[in-house]
Amino acid sequence: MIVVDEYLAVRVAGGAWPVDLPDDELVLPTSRHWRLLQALHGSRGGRLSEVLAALTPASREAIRYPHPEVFGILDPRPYLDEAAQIAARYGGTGWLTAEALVAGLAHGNRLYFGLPANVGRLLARAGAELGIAVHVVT
Amino acid sequence: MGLPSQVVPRGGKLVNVSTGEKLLEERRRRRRAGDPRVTEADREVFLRLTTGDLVDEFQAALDAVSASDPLLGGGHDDPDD
Repeated sequence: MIVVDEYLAVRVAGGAWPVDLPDDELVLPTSRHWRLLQALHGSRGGRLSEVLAALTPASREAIRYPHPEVFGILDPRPYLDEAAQIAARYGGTGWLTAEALVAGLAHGNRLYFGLPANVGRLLARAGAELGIAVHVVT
Repeated sequence: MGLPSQVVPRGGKLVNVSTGEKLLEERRRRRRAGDPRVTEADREVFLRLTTGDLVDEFQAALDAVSASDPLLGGGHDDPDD
């Protein structure tokens, strides 16, 4: 099982599997699904809001309730304690980073992102210290 | 006793493929095909969001969610810190 970010989840839902993404089951951490859903339902204005609002209801469903054969949503409950330890170690990382790190540790010491800017400096540093390989596939 | 197998063509040869292998291959094919609920036009939109002209706006929207929620983002300068 591979832990991925919002970019890879959306891309794979659209049937554009990146060449460098290993062929395995994919899972999106809950905090990243939350962030994705807020972007989907938000109305920040501009081109992005117009484009997201124009998606068909069925396409929106693919993000709101992902098909488990395409990508799953990680159940965060088994990871809470370890995530809290990581957050404390790194001075309060926030749930987004702590959950990704603990999910990476639990699933093969690896994380996959679809954009370098979505990794974050703290996640990159903590990942290196914790022995998690952070891959970016575009 | 193993699962039943079937002889199928693969790479110019006939090979034995078990039912388990066939099921795994079918799951792999469906995973890589994407979600069937997404229309062809919206598949293009998903690609624009993740690799095309909407990447920066999409990232800004994600960062804004983190920045507005200290529990999620941790209150660091970097939205993803």
